[in-house]
Amino acid sequence: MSEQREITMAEALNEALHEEMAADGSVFMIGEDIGRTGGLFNVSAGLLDRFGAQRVIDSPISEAAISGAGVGASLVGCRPVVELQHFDFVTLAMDQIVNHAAKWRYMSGGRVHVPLVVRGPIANGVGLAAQHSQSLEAWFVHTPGLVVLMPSTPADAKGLLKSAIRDDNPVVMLEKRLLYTRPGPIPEGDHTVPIGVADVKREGGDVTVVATAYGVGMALQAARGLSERGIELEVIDPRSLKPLDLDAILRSLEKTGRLVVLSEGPRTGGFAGEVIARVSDEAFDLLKAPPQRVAALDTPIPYAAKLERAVLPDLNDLLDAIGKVTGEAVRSGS
Amino acid sequence: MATNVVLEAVSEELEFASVNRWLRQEGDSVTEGEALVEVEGDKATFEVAAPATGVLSKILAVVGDEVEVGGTLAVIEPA
Amino acid sequence: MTAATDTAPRLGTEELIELYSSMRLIREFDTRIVELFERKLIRGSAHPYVGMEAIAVGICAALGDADYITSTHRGHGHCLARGLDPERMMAEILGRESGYCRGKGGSMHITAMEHGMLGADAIVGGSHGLSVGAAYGARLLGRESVVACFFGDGAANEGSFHEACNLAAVLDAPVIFVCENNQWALSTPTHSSMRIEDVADRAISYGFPGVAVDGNDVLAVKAVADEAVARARRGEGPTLIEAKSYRMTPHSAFATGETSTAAELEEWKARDPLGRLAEQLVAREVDAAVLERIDAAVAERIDGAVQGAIDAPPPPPEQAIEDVFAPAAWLRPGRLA
Repeated sequence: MSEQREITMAEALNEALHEEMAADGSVFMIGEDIGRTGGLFNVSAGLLDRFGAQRVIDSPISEAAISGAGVGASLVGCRPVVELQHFDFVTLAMDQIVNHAAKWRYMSGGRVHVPLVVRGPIANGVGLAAQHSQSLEAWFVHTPGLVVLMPSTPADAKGLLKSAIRDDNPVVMLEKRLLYTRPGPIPEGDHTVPIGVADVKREGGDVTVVATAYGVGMALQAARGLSERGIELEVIDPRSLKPLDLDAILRSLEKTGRLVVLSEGPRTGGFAGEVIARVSDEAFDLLKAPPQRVAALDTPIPYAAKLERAVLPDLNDLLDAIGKVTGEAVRSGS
Repeated sequence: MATNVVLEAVSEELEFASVNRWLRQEGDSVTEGEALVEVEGDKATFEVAAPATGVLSKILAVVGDEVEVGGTLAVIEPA
Repeated sequence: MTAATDTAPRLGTEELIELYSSMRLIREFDTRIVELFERKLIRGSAHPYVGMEAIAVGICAALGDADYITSTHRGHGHCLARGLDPERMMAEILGRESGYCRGKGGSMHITAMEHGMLGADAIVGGSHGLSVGAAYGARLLGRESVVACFFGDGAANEGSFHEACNLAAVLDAPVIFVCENNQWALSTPTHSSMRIEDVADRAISYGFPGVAVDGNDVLAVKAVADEAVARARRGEGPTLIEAKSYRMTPHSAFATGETSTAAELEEWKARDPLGRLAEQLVAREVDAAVLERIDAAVAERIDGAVQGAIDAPPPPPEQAIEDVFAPAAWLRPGRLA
């Protein structure tokens, strides 16, 4: 069996950008510090040299203007990729994403479309404090007309970004910064991941754990430990938060009947609650125990390491939730 | 006698780190002091070195796992 | 301010008559819109362009088929000047399926890409960045298009204006920012929202030319627009045109709290853009009857558009969930999330 090449998520995103920009002259990138330095996290390395300044634009610090420009350029036939240096800065671009990109097609009665990608890192877990550490996916799941993606592996990151660029709808892609340097296998060739299709990252018959981005690795780590105790987790990575592959989650619940949903944004109004509500809408009868959500506390993200760890969901929080749906004492030492 | 490769605190505040990339594989011969694994703490990425010479017989923390300071990443057996 | 007389000799009488006809169409259309709102045939609100016709017509007269415009909540004039059908516009404003947006957008969101109309925007200042991107993107794709971005004096104080001006300058984007200064932002007079007299003066701080013009003189507007379009096509970047005008109606058909005075209205009535162009046509010995026939034909056309819209069916409720997303492999009928 041939070994797959291993690259980091940042390298995978970079490959996706190189490939899509080479294949389609209407794709261009705009963002802060993306050209000359190749991006703060090297996601856009080499693009300026290869494609030139017309297609790789180091913009002024103007999130509203560059996201608006992305909308406008997409209306006339381009496929822009707008990078937000930290996803928190999306607040400055919200009017263009929510009131424009998401709604332009609908308001026109389907006469136009907005093939725009807005992407950037969630930089929590490294002590950047409250304004540089938010996990805001729930805002965009809550906005009709947007596609919302969150990759957990380099292969998914590359595949989803390529699909996002090719899709004719406005896509918001949130990446976890701590995953940028983590390597993983990558298939060769024009590797795309379909939007709206979840991935079963691990099969198991006892508990369904739906996890996004960083949570996937946490769930897999939990799974390894619990397997030794005879509890088998099935880990489902939605990859697309919207459109959500609910069928994949329901198929899993037909086996397990026990649901835990892990998402790093704040608990209230978060994505995890949305998944549970949808499962309850469609298949309440499948549930053998009250479903559990694992999420951050409803606080801004604090600076000090102990405080940040207390707020963000961790392995123990996940194990506690699994304990609740199984009725077992699953935490080691408990 | 087997030696554990332990995650040590590189700074006073470090409590956890996640495994980013294994630089050597299970079964490799390793020398004391050589870098075995890259881990990501909350402030920086750093390498953990082999505490002994021998064979990297078992990797316990795979890429993506979070390990507490003091936790075991791998085991080295004498050659 | 740029004088009009320089340009009048360069345009033929036929062209002047066309400009008059276009302005008359807008005048009649938006006057009728106010009536329809009062008859409760229009939902929400409607923002008439009465008195400002020379701006839309003058700017659009300088644009070609491959150029684009963006528009605002006060956008019917821009649409008509760009050549959209009054019939389909009226249908949209009355929420009919046969409207430009199938009844989904209404007055403030009319969109018609076949006329280079990128979509009207109900967010004040919402289209500044969009225009820059459209201009830049069109050029990236090898076109010579320019984009005219219409907005009001109020919008010139939104952050989006300032960001977009700077970005347009940095990118040398072929965009023409057209500030329609009608002296009022709802109930707030322009002079209490800025310390400067002319919005046009802001352009130089971003590194490109700004010019103020009599917005009630269609020929003066066209002259400055011609220059701005030529600059943009030569790759010299953006221009800010501030067209001084006045809205002869309240902010919207729904508005309350207006504080403009009768004296002010009288002063601006004397500068009515239609009247002034008519005077110029008379000076060229065009028979008054010609203009009367145009007025009558326009009135009849608008009558037809109104009746046609009233008679047309509204969209069926099932269409509410259509057009959220563009076709995609993952899209199933009725799939919204």
